[in-house]
Amino acid sequence: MIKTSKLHFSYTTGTSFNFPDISLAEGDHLLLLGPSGVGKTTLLHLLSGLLPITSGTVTIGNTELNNLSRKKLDAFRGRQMGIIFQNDYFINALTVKENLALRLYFPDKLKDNARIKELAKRLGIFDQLDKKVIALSEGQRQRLSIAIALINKPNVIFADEPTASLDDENCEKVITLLKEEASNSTANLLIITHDLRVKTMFKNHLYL
Amino acid sequence: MNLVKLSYKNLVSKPLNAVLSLLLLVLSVALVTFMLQLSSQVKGNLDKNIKPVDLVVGAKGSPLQLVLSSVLHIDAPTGNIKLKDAEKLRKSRLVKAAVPVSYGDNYKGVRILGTETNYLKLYNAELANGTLFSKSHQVVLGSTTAKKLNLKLGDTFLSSHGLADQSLEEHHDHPFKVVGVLKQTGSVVDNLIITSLESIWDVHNHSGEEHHEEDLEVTSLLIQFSNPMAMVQLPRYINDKTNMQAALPSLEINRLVKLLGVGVQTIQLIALAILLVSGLSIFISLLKAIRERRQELALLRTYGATSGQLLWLVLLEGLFLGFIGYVVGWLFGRLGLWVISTYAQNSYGYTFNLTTPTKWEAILLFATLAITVLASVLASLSVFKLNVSKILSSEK
Repeated sequence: MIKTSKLHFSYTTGTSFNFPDISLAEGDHLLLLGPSGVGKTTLLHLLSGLLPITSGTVTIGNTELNNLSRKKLDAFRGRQMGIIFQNDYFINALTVKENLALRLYFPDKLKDNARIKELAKRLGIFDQLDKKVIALSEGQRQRLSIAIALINKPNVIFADEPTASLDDENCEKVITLLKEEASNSTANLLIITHDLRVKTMFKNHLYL
Repeated sequence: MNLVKLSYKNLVSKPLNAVLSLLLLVLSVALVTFMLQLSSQVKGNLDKNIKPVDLVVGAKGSPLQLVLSSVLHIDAPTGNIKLKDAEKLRKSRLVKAAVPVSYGDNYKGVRILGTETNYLKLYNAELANGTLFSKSHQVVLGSTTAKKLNLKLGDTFLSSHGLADQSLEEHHDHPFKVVGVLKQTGSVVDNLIITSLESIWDVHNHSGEEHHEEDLEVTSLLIQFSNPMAMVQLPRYINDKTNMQAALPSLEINRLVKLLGVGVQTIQLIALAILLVSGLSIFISLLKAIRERRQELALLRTYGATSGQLLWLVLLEGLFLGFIGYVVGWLFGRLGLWVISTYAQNSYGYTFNLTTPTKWEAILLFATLAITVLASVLASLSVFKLNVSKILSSEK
C-alpha cells in the first residue's frame, strides 16, 4: 500500500515540486508518465525515502516514512523496497552472484542461494553468475539490476526507466517479469517511463 | 557475503592502488623492526661477550681497540706487553683471576688465540669431544670454527702469519694438530682456534733457541676483579705506574654503543616519520577509493546499509592495509637481518637471531593499526554526508 498526501519538495537550488496525491491499494501497479524535469525521479526518491520530504506525508504499508529515524528508514527501505535506478549501479569488485548475495545481506544478513539461482535463471543471467559485472552486456546489466531489486521479495518495487536499454522482446519479458513478481508477493509496482511499449501494458497511469 | 568479504574484494580489485598505498608503510615497518632487532641483538651479543672480563691490560694505544681486539677479537691488537709485567699484576690482591692471551697467526682467516686453559672457564666453554691442549701446537676449536673449517680431531694444518687471511707467509715447519672441539657457547669462543701460549711463542721463534723468560710477550691480560674497589684502583695504578694501559670493556663498549645509538636513533626517527607519512598515504588512498566508489556506497545505502556499516567497510579496508603492511614490512625487516647476519657471520663470526620478537615489535603493530584506523575513520567521515539521491540520479 502506498499513500501520499500533499507531497511537496524544494531543492536548495529553488526548484520545487508539488505532487498529486497517490493512493495505491495492496498489489496495485502504477505507471508514472511525464516529460523530463517534472520531478518523476524526485517523486521516486521521496517515496523510497532517499530524499527528505519538505512537507506532506508518504505512507508505505502502515508506516509513515516521515516518522522514521534515518537508521530505521535505511532498514525499512532495505526490507520493503526494491529499486531499479535509471542508471544501473553495481559493486564492480564483485561477481553477479556476489552482487545478488550482497543485496540479501542488507539489512537482515539473509542468505538464499536457491533464490539467487532461480531468479538468475528466470532473468536469463544464470550463465553470468560467476562473471564480474563489468563483463556484462548492457541488456544483462539491466536484467541484473532488476534481479537485485526483486531478490528481497519487496512489498514495493520502484523502477526508473527499466526498459530504456532493452529490445522489444526483452522489454516485454522484463515488464512481464516485474508484473509477475509484483503479483506473486502482492507488491506494489511503480514504474517511471517514457517507453510507449510499456504504456500499453498497464491500465493505471499517472501524468505529472 | 558480508562486510569483511566486501572490503577485502574491494581492496584486491585494485591491487596497484593497494600496493602504492602500502609502500611507505612497508618501508617504515621494515626499517623500524630491523633497527630494533639489530641494536638490541648487537647490544646483547656485546654484553654477553664482555661480561666475563672486567679489565683488559695491554700495550698503550686506543682503549677501545684493546677491548675490540682482546675481548671481542675483531680488531688488530695495540701491541704486546712483557709476560713478566703481566705476571706481576696477577699476584695483586685485587685480581681474582687473570688470563693472558696472545695473538700472532690465523688459519684461513680464523684467529689462533694463545692462552691458558682457564680462558675457557671465563666463557663456560666445555669440550664436545677430544681433550684440552697440553703440549705445544695442540689446538681446540670453537664449535663454529670446526664446522666452518671442516676440521676434525687429529687433523693438522699450517697457520699463516698475521690475523687476516691475506697473509702469504705460512709457517711450514710448525703444523698445528686438533686435539679437541668445544661445545657451542654462543660467545666469541665459538669462532676461535685456541692453543697454548707456548705454541704462539714456538711459531715465532725462528732461531730455534730456548725461550728467554725475560723476552716473552703476550698481547694482553684479561682480568676479573676480586672486589669492586679494584675497578677504581687497578686501572689507575696500571695507567699511571706502568707502561701498559688498562681498559674497562663495559665502559668502552657502552661508549661505542652510545656512539652507534645516535645513528640508530636517527634511523628510528626517520622510520617513525615515514610511518606517519604512510598513515597520510593510506588516508589519501582511502579517500580516493571512497570518491571513486561513492555511487557504490550510495547504492549500499539504498539496500538498507546504515552509514555506520559503510564506515565499517572503509575501516576494515584500512585495517587490512595496515595489517598486510605490517606483516610484509616485518618480513622485509627480517630479510634485512638475515642478510646482515650472513655478512656478519662471514666477517665477524656473529649471527643474529631471526625469530625473537621484541615487545617493541608488538607495540609497533598496535601503532601501525592505530594509525590506519585513524586514517580510515578520517577518510570515511564523508560517508555520513553521502547525498544518496543526488549521486544516484546524476549521470555516470
